[in-house]
Amino acid sequence: MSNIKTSKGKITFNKTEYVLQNFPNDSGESVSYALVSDSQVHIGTDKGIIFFDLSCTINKETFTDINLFTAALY
Amino acid sequence: MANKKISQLTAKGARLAATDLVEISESDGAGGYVTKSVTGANITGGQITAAVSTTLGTTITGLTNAISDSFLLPANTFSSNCAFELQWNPSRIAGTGTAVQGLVYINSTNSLTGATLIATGTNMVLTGVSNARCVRWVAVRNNVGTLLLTTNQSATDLGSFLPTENLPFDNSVGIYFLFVMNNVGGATLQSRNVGYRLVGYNL
Repeated sequence: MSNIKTSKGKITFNKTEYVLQNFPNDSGESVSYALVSDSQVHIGTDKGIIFFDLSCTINKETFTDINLFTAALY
Repeated sequence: MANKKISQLTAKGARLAATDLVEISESDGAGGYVTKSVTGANITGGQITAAVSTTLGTTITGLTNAISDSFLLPANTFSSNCAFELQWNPSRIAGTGTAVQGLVYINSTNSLTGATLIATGTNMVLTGVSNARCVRWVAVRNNVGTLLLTTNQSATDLGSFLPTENLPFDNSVGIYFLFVMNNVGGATLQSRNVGYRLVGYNL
């Protein structure tokens, strides 16, 4: 299980650090994330839009709800 | 190679590579010829056909985004300054619900988790079987790509669109291209990617 480490507006995954930032969604609105499904989410970063799902842990904590998972990233 | 017919040589068994050499007879303009070599890049004009699908993708069924097909772009196929055109062909097969989309991601592994979105295909709303050809032009400078906004649901980048200008694209390592079907709009939706092609140039 892959872990995401969070720290003040940044996340680290697979030894790569990403700065969280907004992106335009398909309607042109500026958003920080977009839910993809009940278990998947797109997260805006300085290195593009990154796909995460509930197979990941956040700071070693597991999640079963994508909304709680997403909230824990910020 | 002396005294051997071409048909007697060992077959390369692969596409012409940019660095391969081919023997030619160059006209001297006076009725004679001079034997020289040209590279594969000389012959193709520098065009690199990096990948073409040879099989149909796996069928994905409802309420998820999942990989239907993928390929590995080998390390150093493209340089840090390059341009390429990616085509892919999502297919809505069956089921009811809202739209199906074919999305493309890149990653260092053949996995969707942690992958970077590179393109979102057009909404496919017809019921029954329907296919779409989607295409993106990606301009890479110093390992950073500029292309149509990756969340824009579109088959083509012809026209005036918001761009994405921060796509990391460092081919000094291998890059997996992942063709993903979005069937979130209905539990019975079925779809798959039925083709792709990646062609580009080093600058």
